[in-house]
Amino acid sequence: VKAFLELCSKAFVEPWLRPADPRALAACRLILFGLAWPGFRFGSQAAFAEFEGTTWRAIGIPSVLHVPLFGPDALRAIGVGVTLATGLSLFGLGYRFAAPLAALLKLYSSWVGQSAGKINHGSLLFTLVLFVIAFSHASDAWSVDALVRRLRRRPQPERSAEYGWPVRFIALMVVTMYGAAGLTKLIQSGPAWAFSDNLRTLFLAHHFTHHPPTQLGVWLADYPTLCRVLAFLSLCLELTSPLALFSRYYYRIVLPSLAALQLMIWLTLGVLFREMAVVFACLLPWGALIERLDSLTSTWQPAWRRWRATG
Amino acid sequence: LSPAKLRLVLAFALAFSLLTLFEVVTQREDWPLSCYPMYSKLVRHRVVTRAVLVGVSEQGEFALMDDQTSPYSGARLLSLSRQLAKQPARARQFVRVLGARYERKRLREQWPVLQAVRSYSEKWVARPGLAGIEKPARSLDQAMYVPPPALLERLQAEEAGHAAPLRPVSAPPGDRVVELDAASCDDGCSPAADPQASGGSALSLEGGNRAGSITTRLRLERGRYAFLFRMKVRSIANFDRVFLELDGRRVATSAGLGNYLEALPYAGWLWASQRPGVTPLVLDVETDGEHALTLSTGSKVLVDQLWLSRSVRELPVDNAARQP
Repeated sequence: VKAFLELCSKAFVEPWLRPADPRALAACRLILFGLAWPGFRFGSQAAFAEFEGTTWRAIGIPSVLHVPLFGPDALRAIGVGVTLATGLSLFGLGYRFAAPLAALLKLYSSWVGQSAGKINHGSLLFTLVLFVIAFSHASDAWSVDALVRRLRRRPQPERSAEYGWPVRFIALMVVTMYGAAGLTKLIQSGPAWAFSDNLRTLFLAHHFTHHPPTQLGVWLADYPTLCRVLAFLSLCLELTSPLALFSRYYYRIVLPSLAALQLMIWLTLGVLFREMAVVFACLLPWGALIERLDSLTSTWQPAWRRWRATG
Repeated sequence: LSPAKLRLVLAFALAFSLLTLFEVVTQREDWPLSCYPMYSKLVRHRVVTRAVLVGVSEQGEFALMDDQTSPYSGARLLSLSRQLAKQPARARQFVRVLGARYERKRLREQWPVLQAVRSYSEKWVARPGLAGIEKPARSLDQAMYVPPPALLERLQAEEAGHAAPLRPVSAPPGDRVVELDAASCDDGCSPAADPQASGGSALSLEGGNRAGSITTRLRLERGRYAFLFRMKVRSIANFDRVFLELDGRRVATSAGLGNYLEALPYAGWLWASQRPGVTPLVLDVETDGEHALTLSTGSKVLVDQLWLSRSVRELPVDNAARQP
């Protein structure tokens, strides 16, 4: 047992120590803060102040901590703060201060919106993922901070585990979320979630309550057994997804499968978790893609120089 | 990555996983943590319900745009309307704030005057191939009245006694407007002078122990008519319920007509029908010829006009008298 636990522990910890390219993490920064940046709309949350006591009721841990709902002017100011801080984080300017501030303000404004009658579970994880990227060295490449460092002739960052752990952390959050969703299905509905007409009815019902972009769900509903198989597979996928943290091979199967599941949910049920799509985009093998790009560049650059030299 | 930092990072990662597991085991939702219960409940019935929310203006119902209900829209608004269906007092508060926000933008955006928000349930039995999805069964869940600000101001002014009488407004062609006079009085009814009443006088129904009634006879062509009447309570402590009979048969539900004091607690003139926010009562006149309309009440109210309309779909947002 001890040997097994040691093996598990090693399998779990080893990926966190794997060196990664700073540009891969920079890509995640651009993706996450690109979505988090709200543009120049500052007042979207301010309106909730008018509904305090009627339909706006503080939820979750902030309510236990007695976090107040500020007035419309303060909420508008927070909106300006979110735009500024996420904008600075996106471009990587003053990242060490701007990014944590952006994550914190985004958390607050997200809480304001979610306390207004309905929790959007799709954006829940995204809000937390921002904290992971905010406390990382995601601005060491492709950023204003990195440009300043280069102009000051400071040493350039090299591959390090500092650039790998945030992505691993995000992957852990993703598989934890899906694992939790799978367990909750089992607790609330038991195996009947997969072995009944549940998914089939959902496929049909969502054409009444949502706007699925395809008729795929209607077609699938014509095959009840196939619906049960799909439900069983997706439940298994969710339940076993945390195992991806212990096996590199299973990680390569589970993460794309979860992304595909999310895509299928959109195509068949018309439920689009936009924030989750962005979180999945962070888990793409950006390091490998960048390396491939580097090798391509190193191939065509000398050829380009030769072509220019010969006119 | 230093060992200390790695330990810190792993500690946070472990904490997140354990806290999420706690949420799952206890089936709690402590935002931003969650047990992620999306679609975890078994769909046992094939009857699917969706909520449909519409705005109501004088011209009829209209689809509400996100801008008109902001910051509530889409799934959040529908989820909220389902919650509010069980909490009428909270629903009234919500609609009051929503109406005030709507009114602030209304002139700039050229939106119609909002007088109610109605929530309907549409039901469909899920069938393969989406059979019958285009014709769901529809029922009204609730009608939440939004008092138009101009009407509120007018009623307050009338109650305070400093409102100038309004000029009568022309009713749409084909509508019947009946001026009530002493000839229509039955028991417990008498003519009363009132400067805001049409023509300066109305019929006063006694109420209390002596229920009052008014009967008027008029020639009507067969068809469906929206029935409205212009009324006023003597005091907001009174009841505002009035009953209608067509040719001796009671029309409308046991709730009767009027029923506006909860939404509009003013002793001013009003166009009433079933209740504010709800479509006016529709009278089904089955034959051409003379018909008797009787209004009776145990409340102390004044009535000055009856309005039978072929074209009106909703209560007017003003309280001016009508003229043919």
